[in-house]
Amino acid sequence: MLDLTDPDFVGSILIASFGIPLVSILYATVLPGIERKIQARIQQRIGPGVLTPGFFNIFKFIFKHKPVITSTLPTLYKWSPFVGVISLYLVLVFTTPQWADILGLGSLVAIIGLLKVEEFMYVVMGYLSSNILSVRLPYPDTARGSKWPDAYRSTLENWGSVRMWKMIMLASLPLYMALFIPVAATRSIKIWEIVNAQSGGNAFVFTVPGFVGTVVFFFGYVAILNEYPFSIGKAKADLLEGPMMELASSWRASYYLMRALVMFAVSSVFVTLYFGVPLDPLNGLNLLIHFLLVLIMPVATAILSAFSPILTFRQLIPLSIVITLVGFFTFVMTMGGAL
Amino acid sequence: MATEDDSYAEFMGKGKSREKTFETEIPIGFNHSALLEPYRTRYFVEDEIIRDCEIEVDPAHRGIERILQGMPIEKANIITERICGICSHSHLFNSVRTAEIGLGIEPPEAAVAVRVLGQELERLHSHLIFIAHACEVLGHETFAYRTFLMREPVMQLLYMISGNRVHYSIPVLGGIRPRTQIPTWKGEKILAAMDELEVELKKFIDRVLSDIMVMARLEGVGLCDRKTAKKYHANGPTARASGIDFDHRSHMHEYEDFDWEMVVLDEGDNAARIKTRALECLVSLDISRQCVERASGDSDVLNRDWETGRMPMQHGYTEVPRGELYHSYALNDQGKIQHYIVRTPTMTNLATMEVACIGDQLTDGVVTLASCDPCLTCCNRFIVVDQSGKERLMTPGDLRGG
Repeated sequence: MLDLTDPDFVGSILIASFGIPLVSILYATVLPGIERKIQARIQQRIGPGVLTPGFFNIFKFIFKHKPVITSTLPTLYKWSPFVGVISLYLVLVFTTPQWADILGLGSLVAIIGLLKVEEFMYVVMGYLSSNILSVRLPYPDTARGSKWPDAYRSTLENWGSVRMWKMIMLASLPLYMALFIPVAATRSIKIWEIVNAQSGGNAFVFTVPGFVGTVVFFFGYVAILNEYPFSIGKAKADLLEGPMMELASSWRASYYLMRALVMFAVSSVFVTLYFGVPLDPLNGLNLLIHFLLVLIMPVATAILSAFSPILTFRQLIPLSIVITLVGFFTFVMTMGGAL
Repeated sequence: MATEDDSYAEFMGKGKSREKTFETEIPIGFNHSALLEPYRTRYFVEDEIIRDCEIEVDPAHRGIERILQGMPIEKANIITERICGICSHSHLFNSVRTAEIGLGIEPPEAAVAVRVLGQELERLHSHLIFIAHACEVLGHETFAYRTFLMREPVMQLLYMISGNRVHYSIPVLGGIRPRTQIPTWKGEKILAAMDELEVELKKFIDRVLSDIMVMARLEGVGLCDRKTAKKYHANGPTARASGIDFDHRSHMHEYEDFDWEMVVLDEGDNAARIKTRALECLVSLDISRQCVERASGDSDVLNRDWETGRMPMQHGYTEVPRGELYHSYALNDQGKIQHYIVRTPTMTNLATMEVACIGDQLTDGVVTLASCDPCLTCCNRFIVVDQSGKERLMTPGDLRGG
């Protein structure tokens, strides 16, 4: 309940709204480094320092020269990653117990909506960007006997955008299915009620639907991160980072921050829903356990990515259908009490 | 006069009635940071499916043949080594043997064995680069890194034999450079290293070829049947992966006494092109062992009993890692080069892949082009500078003009 006259309540809300998310952001910037280090060790090389890819890269890019960005709507393009950062920041805020009962924001519906914003930003960026490498290849094809001189030319970023759109439809579906499996077990979409149902060591992850849900969630997590094998949207072999191609200097720094935050925020939601350990600023031990458990998903992702090629839609469509169906049947059977 | 803005508008299809033949074209290149080599691919796609493809390889022309014109044969031979940084030995070997055939020079047996050893080790490291590149294009960085680690002992062997890791400069007219002679102690070391390499290589090849995700990307993709391969003159491992049982080594006198088997597969897809090269690595190791056994010792490696002079146009073919390499030239009375022509295997192999990638997913199309192991800087041997602005067809006479 909103009681702005209660100083304890206001204090806890302020900590939950600013203190913990800011600490989480700092912690999140370490995760890309851990991921890269694990991949490097698998590939029998040293790899970058743990703080380099997430933390120092952000500062490095902030202080770089700002070039003119080629885009139809440059302002929106440049600020798109910030919109993603804000939406992920809010995910962290709304999963704290202090926001559990405020305006219904501490619910899965709010979380899913905010995660969708982050995904949608890739589509927006792809449509707005037109890098010189892909738009103006000054080569006279028409004079060289091309069979198709007048075909419509699509920029690489546009193509990446289309792929990102498909990925929203396909690959992140398992994530949303997995988010609803704990809902089926507790009959509530409120995060705090899902957490409370797991109190006393009854973590959902150790049940059959919890285990299946974890597997489904993991695939969704890798997909929302655009990591191998679900990285076709930014497939480096043919598209070179697609929608993010024009982001430079501080705008690229904000993209790195967004990516680090996705790694942390989505993993944090998993720990909250499946382990029943929330991001509680007033419970130090819980917070420590939460931060440790958050590592599970990025570490598993790093290992999977190191051993995977990029999958094309030829493989992604059947894979996504199978994983989503597994998630769906687990949801239905949990709902029906069969699991 | 058309301005830059006009050409931009035309480029983007504005202000011009365009035939919408295909839904979209995805142009990639030149000098695009996503590409490893300077070529330009225009994919004409519907959704993610490639309906047509055009490749251009123009900007890498270096004019090597023009440089060689009028150069003394001994000097020209060593320049040909600079055509490629991967198959440098292949070019020098073919250049030298072309003159040797034309001038009737017979190199000693041990020298031939060292030349073949260089050729097979080069094939081995080239195929390993190819596998690493294919894995990298697939997005499997771990396999790519591990393949490069696997290649390192091969580079060490080449370094041990020649003193260089890239340009080995093994053959000279009449034999090999004395520094590349293999004494018995070196031969034993090379054989021991090869035994270790073979064990690791077999394990690694099994691992790559049994990876479900990698094979899902490769099998049934980039199909090129025997008929298509023949039509577009595919050669080397690219042709052998489509069931064409031809390998120049079967006809080269240098390989006459070696015991080896040609690797031929029928599938004709990207997986087959990778498998062919992986299996050829083992064949190369086998031939290399035979070479070391023949070359070890203190026998003579250089025949100095020859003279340069007039040589009519001579043609030389060898089987290099990527396929058929053709060198041809004549010598004038002073033993200087006339009309040097080099044709590398990529020229026809890439044309074959241009057709093979039709029907693939866009991302698979990039793998298909890479699956013929293109070497574009070596491939581009011809350029016409014509500033008249008029379009014209090249005649055979133009091409023979030198």
